[in-house]
Amino acid sequence: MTEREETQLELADAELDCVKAQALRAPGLGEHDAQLHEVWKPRKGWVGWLMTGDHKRLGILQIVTAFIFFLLGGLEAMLMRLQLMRAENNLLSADLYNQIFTTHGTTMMFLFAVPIMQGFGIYLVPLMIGTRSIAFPRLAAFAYWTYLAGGIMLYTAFFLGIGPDNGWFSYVPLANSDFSPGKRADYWAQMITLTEISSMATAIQLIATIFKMRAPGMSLNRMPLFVWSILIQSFVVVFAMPAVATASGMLASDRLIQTKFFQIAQNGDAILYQHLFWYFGHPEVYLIFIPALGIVSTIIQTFTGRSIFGYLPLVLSIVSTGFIGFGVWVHHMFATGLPQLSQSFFTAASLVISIPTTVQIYCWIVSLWRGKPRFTTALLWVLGFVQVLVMGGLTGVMLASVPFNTQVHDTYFVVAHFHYVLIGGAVFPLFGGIYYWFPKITGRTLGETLGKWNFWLFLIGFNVTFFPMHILGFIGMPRRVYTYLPQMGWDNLSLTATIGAGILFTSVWLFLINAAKALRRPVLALDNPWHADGLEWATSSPPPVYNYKRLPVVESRDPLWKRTDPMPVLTGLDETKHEVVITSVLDAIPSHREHLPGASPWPFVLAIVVSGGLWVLVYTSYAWWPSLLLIGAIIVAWYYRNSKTERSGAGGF
Amino acid sequence: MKWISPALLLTPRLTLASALGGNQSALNPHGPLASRISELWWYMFAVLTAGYVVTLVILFWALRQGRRGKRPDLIKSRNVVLIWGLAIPGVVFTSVLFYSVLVGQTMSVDPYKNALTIHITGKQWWWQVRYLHGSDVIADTANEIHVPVGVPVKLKLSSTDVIHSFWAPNLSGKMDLIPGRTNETWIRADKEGVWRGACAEFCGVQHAHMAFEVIAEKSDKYYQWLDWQRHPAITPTTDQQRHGLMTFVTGPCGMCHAVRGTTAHGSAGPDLTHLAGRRTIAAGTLPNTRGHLGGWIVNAQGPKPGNYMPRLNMEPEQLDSLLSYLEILK
Amino acid sequence: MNVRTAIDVSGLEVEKFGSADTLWWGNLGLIVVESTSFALLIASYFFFRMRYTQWPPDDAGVPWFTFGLPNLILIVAICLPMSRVNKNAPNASQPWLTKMLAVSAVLMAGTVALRVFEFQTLHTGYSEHSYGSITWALLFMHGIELGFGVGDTAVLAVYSATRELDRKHRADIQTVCTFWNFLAISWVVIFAVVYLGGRML
Repeated sequence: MTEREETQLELADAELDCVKAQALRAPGLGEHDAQLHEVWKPRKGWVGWLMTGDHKRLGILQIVTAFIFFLLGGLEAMLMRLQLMRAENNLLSADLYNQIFTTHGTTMMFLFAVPIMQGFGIYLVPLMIGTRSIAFPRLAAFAYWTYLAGGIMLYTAFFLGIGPDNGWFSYVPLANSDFSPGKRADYWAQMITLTEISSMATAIQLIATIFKMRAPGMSLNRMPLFVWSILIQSFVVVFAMPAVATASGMLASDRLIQTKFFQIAQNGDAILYQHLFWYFGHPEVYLIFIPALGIVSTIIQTFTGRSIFGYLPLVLSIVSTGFIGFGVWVHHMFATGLPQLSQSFFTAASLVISIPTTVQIYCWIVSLWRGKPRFTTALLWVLGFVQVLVMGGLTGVMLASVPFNTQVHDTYFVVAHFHYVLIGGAVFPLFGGIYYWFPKITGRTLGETLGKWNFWLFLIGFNVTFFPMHILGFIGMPRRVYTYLPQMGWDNLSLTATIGAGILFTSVWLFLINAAKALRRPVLALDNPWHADGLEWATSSPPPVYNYKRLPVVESRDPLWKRTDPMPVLTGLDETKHEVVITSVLDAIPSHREHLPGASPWPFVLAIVVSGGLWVLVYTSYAWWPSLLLIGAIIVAWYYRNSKTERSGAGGF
Repeated sequence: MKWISPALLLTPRLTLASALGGNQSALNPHGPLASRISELWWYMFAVLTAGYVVTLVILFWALRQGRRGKRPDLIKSRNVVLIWGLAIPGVVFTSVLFYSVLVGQTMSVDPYKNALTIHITGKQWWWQVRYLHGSDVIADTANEIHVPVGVPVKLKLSSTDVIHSFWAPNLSGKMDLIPGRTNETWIRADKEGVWRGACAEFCGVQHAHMAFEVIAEKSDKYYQWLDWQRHPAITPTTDQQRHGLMTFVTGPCGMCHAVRGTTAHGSAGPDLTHLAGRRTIAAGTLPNTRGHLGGWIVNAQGPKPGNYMPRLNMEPEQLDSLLSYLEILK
Repeated sequence: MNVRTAIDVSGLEVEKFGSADTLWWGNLGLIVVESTSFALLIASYFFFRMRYTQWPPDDAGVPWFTFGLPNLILIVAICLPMSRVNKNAPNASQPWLTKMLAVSAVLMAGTVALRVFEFQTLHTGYSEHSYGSITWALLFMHGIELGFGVGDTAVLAVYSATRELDRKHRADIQTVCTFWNFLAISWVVIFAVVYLGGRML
């Protein structure tokens, strides 16, 4: 059989499996479905959204919220580009510019990139591993509401004109009360606390879900690559985020109760802050990038119609990226005058971490070569990802070199580099992912023509914006300057970048139009429009509240493409309760059944109290113990309330 | 092939370099460190660009081959990943590591124990530059670093407020100025000239206006300058200048600025003993002319909003005499 | 319907104890987060040490063992009743569990009380210098966790006294036991750093 025939057969199989998959979906409401629906349905109206523990609703909330923050961050970026488009421009004052670049960075890192990736994790993981829920639905609800509260807190300060203005890294001593009087840095620190609580809760949630709730038969070596990437991301979160929480906590207490962690005169240390911050800050980049790697693998597999080449090296690459990511933070501190030897160590580590990515790039190239690519918009985003990310990766290799780093560190070269890495490494795959999973989530497909305009304008706009910044860095333009003198000769390249930003702006508008148009169309009939093989496509699009009518059993790595007709499922769950099956960590052998709690107002209430307490803490240190007592009381009330009625599964989800 | 002369190969590089030149450019090196770093950069640029192009070419070639139905078997697929994804990047990255470490060694301050040392202190938002003899300050200037050409000069960098970063790209890479610590680096200007530098670490509202100049001069000229800096300020000779001096010491100026030889001993702002000899004011923001200086005195918040110099209300005659005095402080 | 039943799970028990339970993994995740925070605070302690010639600095005394040592012993000792509770939680009679939890909660409250006095024997204030700040931070952060331990145990004791325990609540009781073990182990380390480090470094 020739390769071509083989592929055609695989495609035919895929179609056949789509038919097969109908078995798992919910066609109309039979008696059985009605029962499931009754048990898992959320409460009606907006109260249902406030109380929900449904991972799909929470995932959608988180994705949409994060995307709104992406748009806000983008508008801030646009303002900065307009200010810098010519020398000594007066559009923004120095103070406002500093607030804007701080809010832009903080938004993109803490309110957009990590939450949206985790949002996709929350939405997709239970569907991909074939279960009805995440492990701790109420923790997930709490995590979402705290994240939202953190975002609201930052933007309230920003719109009141007291937005943080020390950069997204908020270095001390600049952020100490001596040099930043007022409440700006406090808002930053408390916002960090809230978003970190949220991220860590979500990460623990996802680890427990992935380890214990996979469909029977989905051993670790049959787990989809996206699930792998979310798993590794969650581990990185758990080990990295405490560092920034510690740093921001120390900063807040320095400002609030006059501890002396970072007061130089009392032997506090500014470099300690940098170590703590970057021990988190570099893994942060990877925990944004790693899920994107999972998205890329998923899209390539689907649109080549063939299993991805190099499953094992891809998994190992993600794992090693997560590990080595903890050993490279000092390359953000090469100009602080650390000893030569430790610098060489961090150079070596920073170079080594590129290797897993080059391996993955070539695995994907070979996968595209072996398969029969269909150039949908989703796949185009992946190809764009390769163009952009590889360049960002190579400038990253350059930045690992200490001597070279001391030249371009904190210049526009670095601005160019990390936008290539973060937009290339995360936003391109993310858009790909949105085009890919939009039908799953909404039941409607995004327009391909508009999508291609969206993609090409984004790719062009991106390169026009950020490529010139490499050169700006070489010719002396430091980062975080609100203006520059005309004689510096930075005008032309800056103007080019601003024009590029305009193109990017247009492209994102096209996306919004595309999404709005799609949402106005009726739900489409196809459940699996891409002939994909992930379990998430084995149910209807959008999925019913209970995810699967019959929970799947997995017998291969490609559950929908590998032909085992009829589809294996499990039975025996008590469908009058929120019951799920729990399996073993390594081989996913069913071990027992577990009941999940239902809808509850308490996570929302607790999030309000926690964020309210932190908000009051900005203004008075005495708030700490009343807040703790109130939080304790609410947890107790929650525990008692839920024990009686809601654990059995009555009362909606 | 005879017609490819080395010069021809160098041409694009030279053209590019001149386009990227300027007196605040990392690619227009005039000191040994900046030169070694720019050589390292051109090496990395060459090999990594090649790697980039190769990767994209392979990607599109693979898509094309695939479309023609020429797909690799398992062995070939594996080899492509091992060779292009693992072995070649491994070799290239290792070469970058070795080259970097070699260049990094030249950055060591150790060989220059007894070299001429300049103490630079970062302040929000200007640079205090001091030359010491023993523990005596023999020159105290701001935003201007005079160095003799061809001589390695050690810089001791510190800060009294927040973190700043010293960056004169034509001469060397960055080094941070961190409160509570003293960092050392060294520079050597290989050519006479004025090389501009700037603060590279975000240090507050006027981070954008915190530049300085390195003025590299022939040795005799440099020592002449240094010698002159030891002297206290010139005494005024005309009534107008004397009136200006009075304004300076009795008015608000002397509270923040010092002029040696007078009763003005303020230390919050730059020492102005030899103000008129400097090329710029406000940390490289404005040229040091009578007009700019006058504008700066009455409205320092205009060109550099948020800096610590207040707006001063002055009668025109008062300002005039003050400027006449300041102008003689060569 | 085009499916076949591959597995029937109706025979599997509902709720399991130990590492089979998802809650155990959630608790472990929480412990990992807390451990990382403690580890970073300890690393900061040694980082600050480099800025001093004398440790503790001149105006601070060495920490006394007066309350620290009894508290160390008490915190570790509470692991004994807690490990018995942990072992027997799935099957033990409810009155027995109530009694054990109540006794443990009272003892735990004692650790919190001792912790309050421990701050006095540090012989430094939190706002004097970085030494004071970091030692207070280590004791305080661990103290907050002790407080959570008291709260959890007390609530479970009251619950056990007033309502019927199902398997899920028995698993909750085990979670508190695991959490207390973590608190004891981490306190042994922090105690060594603060009390011995303050004398020997």
